[in-house]
Amino acid sequence: MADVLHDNKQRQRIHLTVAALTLLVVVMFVSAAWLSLA
Amino acid sequence: MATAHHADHPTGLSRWLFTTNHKDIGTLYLIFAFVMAIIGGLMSLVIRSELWQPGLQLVDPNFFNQMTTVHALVMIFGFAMPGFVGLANWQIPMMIGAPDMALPRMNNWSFWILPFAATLMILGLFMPGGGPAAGWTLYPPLSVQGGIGTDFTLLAIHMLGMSSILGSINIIATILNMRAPGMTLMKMPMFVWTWLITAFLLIAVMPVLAGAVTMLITDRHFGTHFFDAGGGGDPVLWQHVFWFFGHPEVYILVLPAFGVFSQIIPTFARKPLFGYDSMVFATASIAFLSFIVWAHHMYTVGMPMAGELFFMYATMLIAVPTGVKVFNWISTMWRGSMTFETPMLWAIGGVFVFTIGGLSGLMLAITPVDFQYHDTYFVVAHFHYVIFGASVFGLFGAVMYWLPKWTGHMYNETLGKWHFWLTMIGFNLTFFPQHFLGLAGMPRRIPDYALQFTDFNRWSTVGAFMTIAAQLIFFYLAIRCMKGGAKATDKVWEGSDGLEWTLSSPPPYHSFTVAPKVK
Repeated sequence: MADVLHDNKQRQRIHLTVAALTLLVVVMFVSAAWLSLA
Repeated sequence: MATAHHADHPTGLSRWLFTTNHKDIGTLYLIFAFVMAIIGGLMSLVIRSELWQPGLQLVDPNFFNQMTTVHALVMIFGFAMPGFVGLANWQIPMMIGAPDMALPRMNNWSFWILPFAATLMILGLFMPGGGPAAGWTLYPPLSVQGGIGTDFTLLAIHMLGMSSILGSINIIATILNMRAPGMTLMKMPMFVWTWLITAFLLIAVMPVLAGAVTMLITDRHFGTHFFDAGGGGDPVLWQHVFWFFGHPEVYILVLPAFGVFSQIIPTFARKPLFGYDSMVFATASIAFLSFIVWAHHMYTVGMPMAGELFFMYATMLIAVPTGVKVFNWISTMWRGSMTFETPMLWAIGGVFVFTIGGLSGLMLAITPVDFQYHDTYFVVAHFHYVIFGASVFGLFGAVMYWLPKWTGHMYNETLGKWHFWLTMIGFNLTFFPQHFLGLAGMPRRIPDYALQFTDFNRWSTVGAFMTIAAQLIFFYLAIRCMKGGAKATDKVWEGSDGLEWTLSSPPPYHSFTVAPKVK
């Protein structure tokens, strides 16, 4: 049975998900401002 | 399963300040939401007391406007959203067989931003000039003109938004990466699905609100003119950007409640959920459509006919996936062995009340009709049926459904039913007459009104006091259930199904440290 607390692959996947979502947050924030300036 | 040393945790204040445990953080969120509901509820009583009869009697008009503004902000950002995040924290790890949320330390931070943000928002009311009085939509130029209390609120909105974004990242990372072996996406409980979609909505629109609020702050203090026509800007720009956030926000408040209904109804109908796949796709469709309907909130500012038609038809289209969900819930109940314990009453009541709100929403979607109803009490009635019907009924339903699992004790069913019926009757007494007030032309956000509106307003005020008073029963019921009562079984309900019901009641402090296998 997998030890879910010490699974490095899982940890990497989590970090990748967080990075992608953070990028989405930045894009949405900037696009609101950019649309307003356009 | 948990061993004894796993259950070790700090006690007293430090347990709650430094906790990274999803159950503790879920509890904190739920308590916070209840406190904010009481504060927001008391504000609504100020509003309703002022409207008891025409002719000013209690508060000055500016304070009245602050009450309508802050009541909405508190209820949306302080009560409904944190309430559902609390449920997500408690339930998602237990429903997908994960030991905790993916990012437990960030989880602690997400929560502890909230009390400070809420304090800032409430403190704004006590600043010179009072709090924001522009309505929760913060339309310029009013919101540009407000005093320092408005700045308190804008900063609070930034903080609440940050908390929501952090919480959503955590929820998505948990659901996508920490499901037990065998739990494919299409085997997830509907509550988890609705939260996954809601979290994406939050991540897409909260930064847009943050962008808009930032521009408002720079307009107020740094000499920009984004929303100032005198400086080459446009106040209508705010409306577009705000409602691009604001309409998906409605579904952020509603979709997790749909998830709750989809858990409760099969349990008490003792049948699997009818049309699971269509429920998932309907939820995703509602989320998608929520991004392309924002301008139906602003038909009256004037826009090209093609724009009006597009937003009208796109809005009406939302009725299709919503209808799919309502018919699926009814089909789940059809020929089921139904019983009507308190959570089931909240679920059926929620579907009933929400559907009335959905139908009045269809009326408002029709552009020429909206010109008549816009900014009247009809709109107030409509969105309370939608948001109270889904969010409040959903939250109470969820708490009653899972409270025995969380505490290990059954709640008092008689008190639960009293709470439900008094809230149901009080709510309808408050808001149903407001449809008639709106149709007759009573504008919203006014502290005074013409004499002919008096009777319906009085019904409404009586209903509001009844609704708030009924919550005392819930408070007593919840405290009593936490302290003791009949022992709950692990399964709690005869028809319950899912991983959380395989854990003990109450569940161990650390559950699923070894992932379960899902067939």
